[in-house]
Amino acid sequence: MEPRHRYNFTITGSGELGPTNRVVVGSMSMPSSAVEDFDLSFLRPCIFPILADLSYGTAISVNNGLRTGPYATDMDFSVTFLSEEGKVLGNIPVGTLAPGEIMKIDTREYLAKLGITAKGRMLGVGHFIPVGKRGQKTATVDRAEIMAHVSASDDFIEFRQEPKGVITGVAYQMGPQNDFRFNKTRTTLLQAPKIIVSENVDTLFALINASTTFDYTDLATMEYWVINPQGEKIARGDIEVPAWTVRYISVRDLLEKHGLLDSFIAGGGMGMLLGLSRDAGLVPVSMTRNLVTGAIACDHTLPPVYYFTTWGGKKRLDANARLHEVVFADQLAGSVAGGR
Amino acid sequence: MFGNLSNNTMVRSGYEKVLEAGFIPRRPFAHFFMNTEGIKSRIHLQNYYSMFFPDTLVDAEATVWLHDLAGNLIVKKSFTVKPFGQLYLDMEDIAGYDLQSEGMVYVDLKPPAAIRKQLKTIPNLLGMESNTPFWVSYRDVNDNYMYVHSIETYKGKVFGAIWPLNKLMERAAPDRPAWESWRVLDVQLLDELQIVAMNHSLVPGESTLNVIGDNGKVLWSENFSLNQRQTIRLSVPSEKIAEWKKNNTTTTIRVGLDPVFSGNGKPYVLMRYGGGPLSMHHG
Repeated sequence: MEPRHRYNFTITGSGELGPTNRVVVGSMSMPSSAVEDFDLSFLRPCIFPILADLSYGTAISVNNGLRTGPYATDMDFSVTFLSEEGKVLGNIPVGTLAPGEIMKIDTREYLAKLGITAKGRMLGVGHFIPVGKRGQKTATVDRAEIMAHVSASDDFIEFRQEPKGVITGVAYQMGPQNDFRFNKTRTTLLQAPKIIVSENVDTLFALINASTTFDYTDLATMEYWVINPQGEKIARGDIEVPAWTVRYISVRDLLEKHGLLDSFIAGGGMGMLLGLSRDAGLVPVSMTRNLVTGAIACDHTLPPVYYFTTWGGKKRLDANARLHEVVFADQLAGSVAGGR
Repeated sequence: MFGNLSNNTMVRSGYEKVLEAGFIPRRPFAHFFMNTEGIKSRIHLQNYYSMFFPDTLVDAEATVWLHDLAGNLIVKKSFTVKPFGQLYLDMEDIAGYDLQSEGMVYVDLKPPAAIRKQLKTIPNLLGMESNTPFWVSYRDVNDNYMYVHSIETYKGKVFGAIWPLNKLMERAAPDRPAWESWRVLDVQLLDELQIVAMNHSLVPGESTLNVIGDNGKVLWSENFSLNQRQTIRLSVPSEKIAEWKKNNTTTTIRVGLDPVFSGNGKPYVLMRYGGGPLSMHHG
């Protein structure tokens, strides 16, 4: 009766980060176990922001985590880099990992090899492909194979500003994103009581719009409010995230835009970002950053199944629709409200 | 938990009625807090019922338990959280004074009666568990922040469920697999490395902290034991790190616990690179 959870840090098919085993599988519609014409580059991806615009370098610890079982196999690993506009800039093979093997790379080295200058809001995508499928672009893949690899992974994305001695990061897993073969619906509910803003501190929310093919072109939108500890809506914004890009919400910038920075800091400088996307599964990562020292606290948000382990289906859609009516339908984007 | 009983139609039907009445098992997540050595911790929690039941905007009650490193209860205190509201609790807010301690903190957010009646609208009620995840931020005197989200529930308290199910769940034997971090740390950049292990269960146990070098070789280890709710913060000796750097014994290290004290009871890793500020992440 007691559900068994392994609270690893999967980015589920719903575009949110969440627990591993049954949750990832449970978030998918599963008409059959086979997925035809699946792009093998996304069998076991690792998708991460490259914080070039914030002057950090990005390193990743990745693994071929599936040590045993029918799908355990040597995997080729390569990395693709994408521009701020979501355009593929280049791909570079990195190596082959045996089951259980780990590798750490500094993306700056591989960007240099490709002659790419890190700038703006770039993305990196790591690809693990079984050596037995070398040379194949697509294949019919069993969902169990995808989930076996995703569940066994736990990549660590590391951001570094070495002159300042800042090296930090976040661990997560990533399943299929924004693919109707896995998700009947695309929504993201972001509830993050993680805003910290002070004289020298800002909190950023990175939002990644990814999929299971580089042919994906859908624009994602998210409406959001900054809500104070008393539950009052303070400042509203919305954001567009083009396909295969990462975009940031800077709470500091939002508050400054609305002339609320000083009063927010005077009120304690803490609050919740409540965001809702009704057209995409977005991957949110929060970054609380000291603007002087460069220290950065990276962490991801938690999906609904962390709160109610069987949350989903029609209940999820209905609740999100009502949440939109209650929280977002009464104000135009960009407006400011003093309270509910 | 019910084992074979769950296959009994009458038992299953009866239990479903209990769940429909709102008696859903609910576990608090547990975290490490630290208010020592210049680090301050803060609890971050929102009234998440507002997001899931936006037509029923009511206050919720959060209860916070602090246990010291030995597992002893320091304080238990309840707070009201407004609809869509949040709590940001420094240790002073919980203990009533600037508590100089560290250990385990766990939080339960009790569903208000109006919410409890609606829990039956969530799918797959029989398999559902309600939990209270939250975050802890850690900061130094220069406002350098670290964040860690909930990764493991405290096994010793189950709220919401009827007796004796709650007691059976609380006392269930925990999984104790061996665990190794997937994060690779660069030895030449490393100044300081600490590992925080916690026993989220009611069952005492023993474990070994391993520092693993290139090719999987264990470079350093320390055995320890933890009773229920106990926490330990272990430091890898600085002279060991210096030795690895000097001798090029290994270029990278990872940490491992053999075993963890519960299924996802991975440790926290507190470290300092290149003379910069401390950073913390879950293992």
